[in-house]
Amino acid sequence: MDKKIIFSVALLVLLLSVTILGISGVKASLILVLIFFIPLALLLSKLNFLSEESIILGIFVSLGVIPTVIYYPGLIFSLRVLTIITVLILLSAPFVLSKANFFSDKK
Amino acid sequence: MDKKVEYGILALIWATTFYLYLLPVSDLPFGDVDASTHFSIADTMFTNDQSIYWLPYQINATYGFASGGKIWYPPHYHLDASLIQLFSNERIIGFFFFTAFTSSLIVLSMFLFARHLYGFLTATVATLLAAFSARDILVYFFSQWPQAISFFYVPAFLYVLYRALHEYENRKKYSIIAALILASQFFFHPQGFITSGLIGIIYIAIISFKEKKLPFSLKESVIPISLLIILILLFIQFPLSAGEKKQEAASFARLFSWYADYSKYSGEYPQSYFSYSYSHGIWTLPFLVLGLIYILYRRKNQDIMMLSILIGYYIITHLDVIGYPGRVPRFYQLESLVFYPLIAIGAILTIPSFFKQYKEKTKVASFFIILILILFFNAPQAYSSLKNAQPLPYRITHEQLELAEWLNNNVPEKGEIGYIGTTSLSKIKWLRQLSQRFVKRQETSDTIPNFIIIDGSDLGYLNAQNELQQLKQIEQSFNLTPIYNKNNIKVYKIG
Repeated sequence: MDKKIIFSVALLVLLLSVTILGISGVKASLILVLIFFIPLALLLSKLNFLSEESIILGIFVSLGVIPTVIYYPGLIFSLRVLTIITVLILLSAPFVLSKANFFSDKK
Repeated sequence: MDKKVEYGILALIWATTFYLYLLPVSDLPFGDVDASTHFSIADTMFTNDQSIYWLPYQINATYGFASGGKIWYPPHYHLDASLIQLFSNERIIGFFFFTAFTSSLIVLSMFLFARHLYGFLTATVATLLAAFSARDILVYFFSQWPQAISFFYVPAFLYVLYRALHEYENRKKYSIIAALILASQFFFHPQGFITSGLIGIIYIAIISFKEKKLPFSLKESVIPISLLIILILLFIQFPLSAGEKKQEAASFARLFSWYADYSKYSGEYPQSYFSYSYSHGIWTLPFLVLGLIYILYRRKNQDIMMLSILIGYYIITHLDVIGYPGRVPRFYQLESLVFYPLIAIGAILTIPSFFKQYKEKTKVASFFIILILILFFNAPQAYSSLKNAQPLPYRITHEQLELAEWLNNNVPEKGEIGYIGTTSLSKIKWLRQLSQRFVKRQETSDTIPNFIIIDGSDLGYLNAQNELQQLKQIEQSFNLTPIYNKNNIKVYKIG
């Protein structure tokens, strides 16, 4: 259910953007969704946050956390490369934490 | 109500808000005041594919290397925007797409907060009011984008704080998120951070007094507080150089006035910004009063949260009483958080409480009445303002954009360029940032620049023949051959 909602919202952003800004809107919205929406939303949904929390808090946290992580290394290295690495780490976090039984109920 | 229906309605409201804020966006930049500076910081990171610590030359030359030449605030807003530009390779649309998106976030945080405290219908009304908020639209045009997003985090912070304090089993995860949200507010603009902190402290103080104990464990708060402190320390060097000097305090009578004296800010804000009627619609006032009565009468934890917001807002918008008037109007943007949930409570909760036998039906009827009022009064004004924002030639034209690209390729980085002919100072600022060169208004300068731009394109657009004639006379006095001559714009090399 959570993943369906998350991807439905992503699709809505894309459709809206293409309607108003054409191909430029598609490009910008794809990036927005891939960097600032999907990674944290998936991670928070794995951490048992509600669907609306995963989406909304995920966006708010991403906007603050991602630049925090890449700013100082970005003074030396490529922002593109650093962002890709950060997003990949965030996307893989739910799987890594699953393997470590991080989400299992502790009684 | 089925959760899928709730999500659908929220998605519709948010999509409408995002659509509205996208209306002024095109391949030509817009915005006044600090718009071009915000763009420039992101643009420099986009151009170099690297973060920046020092402001670009054209900004430092304009502001006399204030703050030692380094960026004035943490770079988060501009870095986020630059990532959109970088990966989409859209220099202008990418940046403004991001500003439109962040401007729509008030809808999401308001819904999350109000839904949890007062239910779906109340949240929907508050969110709809926020979607068409005239004051937030004004702030969008003022280009105070980092401040705006920092304020939009406030409902999200109060939501997680509320849940952390009142849901024992979930306290740890919400307190970590609270720390991350508060830190993010600090990064975007300290004003949002101060607001959240103040309201949070007021709420905790009242609840502690009411329950005769702290609503949280000091031992368990070590981790989130430590996380917050570490994150802030990473970027504390930037806002430390900003700040307002203490001035003469306003009179005691100011405590009894909701808004500050407009005459003290008339050079910076339009009068409508200080108007309740313009910002929210006078029709909302009775509902606001009813909402206030409801929370004062009931005083459950949710109501105490609303009261804490009201008290916190009152304090920060009356700082002029202790000698800090400069930032007071900036905090008026928070009024949507203060008033819209109260207006919604007045309509959806207070009025139905008078009709006990038909409470649920009255709730629904109230909702539809408010919906019609919002769509009739607030929505058209919002649409009209955004649709007609800065038409040509009041924003940079394609011809001036072409000039900016030429300047970037043909003028040395520290070259000084005088500009004659535009309709506004804002345009000169935009030309400066788009060309990444130090362009200044020549008429008010007493130094001789390396290059002079004579730009008749705006005047041609407006068919201002007298002014065009005057420009021609200035040109003739140069007795030089232009090195750029296109679209009624000429550039001369002087030094």
